[in-house]
Amino acid sequence: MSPQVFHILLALSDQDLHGYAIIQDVAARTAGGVRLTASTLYAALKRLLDDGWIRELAARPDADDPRRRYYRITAAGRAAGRAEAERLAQLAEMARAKRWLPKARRTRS
Amino acid sequence: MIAGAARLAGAIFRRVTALASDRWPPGAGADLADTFDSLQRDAIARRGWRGLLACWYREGVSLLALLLRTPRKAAPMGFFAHDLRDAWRGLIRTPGYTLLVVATLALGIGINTAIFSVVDALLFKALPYADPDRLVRITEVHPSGNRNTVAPANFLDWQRMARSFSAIAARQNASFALLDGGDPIELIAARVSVGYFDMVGTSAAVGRTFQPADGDLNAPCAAVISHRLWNRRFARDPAVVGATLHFSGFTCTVIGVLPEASVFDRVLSDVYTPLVYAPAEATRLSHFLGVTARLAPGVTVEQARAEMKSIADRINEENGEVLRGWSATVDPFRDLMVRADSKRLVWVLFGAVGLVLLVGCVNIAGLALSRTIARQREVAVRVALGAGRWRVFRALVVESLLLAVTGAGLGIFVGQWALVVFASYVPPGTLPAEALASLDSRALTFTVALAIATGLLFGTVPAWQGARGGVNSALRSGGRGASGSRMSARLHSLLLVTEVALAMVLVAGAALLVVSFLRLTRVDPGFDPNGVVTMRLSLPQTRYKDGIGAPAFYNDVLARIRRIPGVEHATAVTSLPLGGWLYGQQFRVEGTATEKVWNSAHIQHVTGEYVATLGMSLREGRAIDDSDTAAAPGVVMINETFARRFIGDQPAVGRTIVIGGATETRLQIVGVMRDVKTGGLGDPPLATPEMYVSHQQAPMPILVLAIKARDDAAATRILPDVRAAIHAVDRELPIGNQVLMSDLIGTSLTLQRFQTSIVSAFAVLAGLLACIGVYAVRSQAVHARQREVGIRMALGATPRDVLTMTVGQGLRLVALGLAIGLGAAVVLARVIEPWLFNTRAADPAMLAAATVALGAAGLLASWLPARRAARLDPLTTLRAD
Repeated sequence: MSPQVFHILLALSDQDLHGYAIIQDVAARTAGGVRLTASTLYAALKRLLDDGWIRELAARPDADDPRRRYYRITAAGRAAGRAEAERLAQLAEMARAKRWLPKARRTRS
Repeated sequence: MIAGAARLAGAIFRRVTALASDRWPPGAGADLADTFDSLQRDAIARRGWRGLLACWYREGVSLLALLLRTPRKAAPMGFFAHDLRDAWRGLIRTPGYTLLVVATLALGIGINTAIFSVVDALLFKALPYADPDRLVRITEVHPSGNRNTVAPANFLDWQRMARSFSAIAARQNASFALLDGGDPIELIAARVSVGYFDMVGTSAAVGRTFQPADGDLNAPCAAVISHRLWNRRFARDPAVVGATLHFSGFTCTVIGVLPEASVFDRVLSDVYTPLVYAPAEATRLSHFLGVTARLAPGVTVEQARAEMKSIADRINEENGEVLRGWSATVDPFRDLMVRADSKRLVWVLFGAVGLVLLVGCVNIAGLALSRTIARQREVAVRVALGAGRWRVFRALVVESLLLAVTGAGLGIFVGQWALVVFASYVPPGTLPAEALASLDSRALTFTVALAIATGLLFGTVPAWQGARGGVNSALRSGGRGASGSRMSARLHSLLLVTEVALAMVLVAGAALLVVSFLRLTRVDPGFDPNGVVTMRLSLPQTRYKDGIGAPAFYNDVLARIRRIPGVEHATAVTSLPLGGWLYGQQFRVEGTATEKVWNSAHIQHVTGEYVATLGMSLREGRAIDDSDTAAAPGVVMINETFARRFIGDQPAVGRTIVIGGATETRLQIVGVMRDVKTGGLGDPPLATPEMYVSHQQAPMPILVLAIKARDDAAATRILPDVRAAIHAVDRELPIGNQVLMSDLIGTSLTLQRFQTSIVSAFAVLAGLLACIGVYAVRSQAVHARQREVGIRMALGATPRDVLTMTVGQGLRLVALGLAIGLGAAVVLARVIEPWLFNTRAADPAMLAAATVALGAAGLLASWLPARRAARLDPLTTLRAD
């Protein structure tokens, strides 16, 4: 799973978002470290839709621009995201065992 | 600026992403483009231009990478993407070549796009009216065949009789003095039939437009105002509806405001009042209404024209002599909206920029050909390894297309900028504002088409040449011997001749325009503009009805002005040379062979000191002066042309002219004036016949004041005193159009100056491009023949011989190009012939000068590479093998 797709799934994990909001969410969460471009995002959205990991919402908030499309993560998408997260966690664990990372777990406040 | 750039980038992004709709979720194209726009806005908000450029870079690279990546399935696109990647790499390896080509194309395509956008708006786009193709203009036709404005009585008859139209409306331009504290302001106004706005298809933005009741004779005055005036004077206050406007002499109630950016914001009128006629007031003798109509369903312009002609004939029969020879006709509204000289202007410009682009393309073709020759070995290796010739050809064409599309992409920005520059130089009134607005989707489509066309134009010949090269010879000769291929040399020569010929057409055209313009500026106008300042006064009809009181007013004002220190002379006249309206008047001269025949000449109403103020001169007799009052015998001055044409060699002074009209007036000729260039410096050498009558004997409400001081600076200094003198007589009178006569002369040449300078700029550009092309082609030729030159020198040829030979070869080609271009120029110069003043399209001196100029440039361009050849060291060249 590419980092971009992982970030998109993360962004959608607890809220339904439209394309531009996904870009903003990812940028905010990574403090500007990951910036999706419009074309990358929509190409990825297309793949995610094809794979059934997300779906497009028929209804949208009333006050919003009617042209905007909202996306919601599916159960399959959530499962795939979790699997990837576990894989990453395992990798991090291995790195820790070899002391690439400090032992103490920092929790964010 | 930055918002415009972002909008343009958004439009491009939209178009490009639409090409690959299979890459996005179905139907998400608009969403994607909106997201891009939002990102641009963020970037601008954060870091302005730098942020926007960074955003473009990020998005552009990412989009390009995505498009070049072979999608999961698609096969045919895959090959193309492969070619594109190869081309991209090849071009990056040779940045100099790439930059030169892209810059040439960006400039050429950009300027073409800008001019296209003007041509398109002017000639092809729909007029901004509802159902514009059904709108027509109805005009009277003067016995001379010229279209003429319409007499009110005729308009009323047409409205009653004509069946071809669903609506007919008239418009009369007027000017009202608005009094709301401070100095009175002159508003340009229009009186229109009550059905006018409905016919055009415009309804009010606030309030309403006219209803039939507003057109009743006794209805109170209702006014519709322009959005511009609403904005400027009333701060967009909706309460303006119902407000009272105090004009000098009458008041009106505002009933509505016209919509913003409607066509009515582009014409000058700020106030519209109903045009109402009591049948008794309507005249057939003066013609001043503009009449517009909407064709009834199913009626064609031809049918309407036939009906109007028969109606005009019927009206003439009923009215006998008055309208003898007059008729009426119908024209599509669009034809009248666009002036013939504007059309010619944009077509000539379009042709000129097209030529510049062609020269650029030929240039690039030459460069591409050299590049292909240099890469012949690479191509041969590819073919030897099994690439089909079609594949090689395609790869080379794709490279050209990539260059062209990149050039066009930048060209859009150049075009946007060129349009702004163009709009700031184009004389006001020549082109409608919407023609200069901005590049729209039609212009962008044109750019894309142009990019593909130019890419193919300069790409196919070298590609074909590259793909057909022999594999064996190319590989064996180490890639150098092949460059001397006879076919390539011939192609190069052909390109050189072509671009010299194309450039010659433009240079010759520009030379003709320049010389014509210089001749125009040296014309003696027949009067002396130095130190003369002018201004327009319109006495309101309501207070000076039918000109009553006007002579007293002007006498008083002129007397006060003449007392101002520094004023040498002062006069008032219906229209000054180089501007204003000319009125025709019927007359006959007693005691001549044609004394029974009514003729027509321009008539001007003047006060005393007219001849002295404008520095004109009399050939015989005296000028009209202040003693020619209403009580004195009627007098008239004529010009030389009038005397020659209607009186002949006999003395003119003392004869009687009978002025036609409702009642005949007999006037005695007191003086003959020398001819003046009334319409402009470009007037034909034969002036039009003119009569000058005394304003005191024939008063007019609207006159232009002309005041003569020692020089222009002195004339500007006395202006405040002049204004005070006028307001001392009438406090409510607005003073319009205060300009120096010498500025008026300058303005009258604006269009010619514009045509001349822009065509010259294009000619210089084309000439430069052609010289660069000649230089490149000759350098290539010299390079290819290095070995031959080395052998010749080894065998005893001097550097001088080599120089002569090499320059000679180049010059022969240049001369051929010049000859062909000259031929084409003589034919094409007819297009600009109407612009030429005292200059024939085939003016031999000018064509010779253009040939010499471009020939000299061509000589220099072929001499530089030749000199390099002459300096070759034979030993080095021969050893290089």
